[in-house]
Amino acid sequence: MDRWLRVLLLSGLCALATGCASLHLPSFHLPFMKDQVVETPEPLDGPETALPTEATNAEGGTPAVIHPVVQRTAVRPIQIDSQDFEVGPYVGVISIQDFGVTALYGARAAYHISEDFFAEASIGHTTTGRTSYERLTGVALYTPQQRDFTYYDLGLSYNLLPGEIFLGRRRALNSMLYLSGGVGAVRFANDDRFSVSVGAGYRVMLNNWLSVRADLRDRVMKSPIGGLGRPAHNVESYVGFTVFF
Amino acid sequence: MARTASADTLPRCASQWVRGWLVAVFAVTGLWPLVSSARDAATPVTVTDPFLELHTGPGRGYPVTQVVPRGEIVEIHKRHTDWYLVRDDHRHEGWVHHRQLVNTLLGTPPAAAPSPTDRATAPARSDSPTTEQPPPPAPTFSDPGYLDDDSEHRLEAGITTGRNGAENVIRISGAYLLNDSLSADLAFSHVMGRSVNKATALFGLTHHIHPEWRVSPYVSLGVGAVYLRPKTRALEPGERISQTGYVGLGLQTLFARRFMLRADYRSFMAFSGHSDNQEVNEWTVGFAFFF
Repeated sequence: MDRWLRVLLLSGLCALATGCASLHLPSFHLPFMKDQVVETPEPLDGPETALPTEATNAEGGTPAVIHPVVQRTAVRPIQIDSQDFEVGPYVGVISIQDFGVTALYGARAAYHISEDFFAEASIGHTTTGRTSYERLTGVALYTPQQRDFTYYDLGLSYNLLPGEIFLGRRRALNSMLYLSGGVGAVRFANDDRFSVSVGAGYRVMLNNWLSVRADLRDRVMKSPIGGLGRPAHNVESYVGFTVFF
Repeated sequence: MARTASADTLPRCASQWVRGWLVAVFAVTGLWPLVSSARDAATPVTVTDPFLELHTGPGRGYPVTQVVPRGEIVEIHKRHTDWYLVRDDHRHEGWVHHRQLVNTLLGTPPAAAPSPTDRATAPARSDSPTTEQPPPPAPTFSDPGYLDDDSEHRLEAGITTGRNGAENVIRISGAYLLNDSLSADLAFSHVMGRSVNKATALFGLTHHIHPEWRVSPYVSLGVGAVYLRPKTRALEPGERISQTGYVGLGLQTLFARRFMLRADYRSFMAFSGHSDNQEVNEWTVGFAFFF
């Protein structure tokens, strides 16, 4: 305990002393303040611009050939409507190992970091079916409440293949094939289990703010049956739409 | 057989979820076009680069189908990551990368005023330059929402995963940068243990010792609250909340634009209220981004 407290206090002192030394009040460094309008300065008609003129006059008394007029351009910040966030629901099917195929419902929210990457959080829910053992013996291993299968997933996707879908001769829709990976947790039978998901998806932009997405994922977790700890592969496929804002 | 089994369990769940999703779907599809059109205010700018390349989509992989020459006026409608949706006078629409728009001028130039490039290359007139007052140039376009890698961004978010002792942990975090070195962090972590599941809320400070380094080290310090949920009540006391504190260190590197990779070590002390407080080491890796 004493050792840990010493480490805690020394670390805190170190971090705060060095960090606060360069601390500026945030109110003086808000992002929008550095983009204030820069007033246009006067044209450089002073001694700087007079030098070339004098040089040419000294040679032959002819007027200046080049009169550099250098003007600094003002910068005016204009807030453009950005569309880096994406939300939407989805529906599909999930094949839970040993439990059969059931309907899946979910929702997701994504933030597009760059044109290559987007981070995504999703939640999904299904109610599992009966295991093979239960169907053969008629013995129920889980109560109806324990069959609720709810997960969340936090992941990263990479936009791999941009493309277009052509509808007839006059209309084309942008599309994107992306790869996804993530980690999450599954709550099933009153227990939380760590899960890893990998998969791919396809996005078709219906217009500039609405898209349709189809995904295929493999959600791997430890099997809830038997306590063996073997990995269970739960393959899910779902479609949904998303709006950008 | 499987289809019959799943059909037994569907209606109970479906009645709740479908109702919720239908409300969401109708709300979004019904109201969003109104919101979208209300925010669709265009900003006219004049092209000063030799030409703008209009891509069919917001990415370098989408083909260029139109170009807009210098002097033309385009309207900027939206931004998606590094790309702007613009429309020219001929109703051609396309996506232009940020680097092509930084030199555009806001508004329409005066009819008699030459562009800055023309002024620089045109021969001077013979009348007295001291009496001539060229018109002030139009201001340059700048989007505060666009963040360069070296810009003074303020908000960060991250997702990391790893081991908390012998258990799996997932942590999602947000940070507000007080300056280049110091940030205030808020994080939530989820530990999935063999006997206890833990949900933790943490508040702390992180100090980047050399933020300018390509691989930047940092130290962190914080406190939080842990909600413990035992899996079996036979061996563990019931659900409870306890306090915790941590010190940590880690490494961070900028991997892609606005996208960072992170490796983190934290030593947690769980204040159990007994004489034997528990220490747990946590190792995580993950990514973070700023916005």
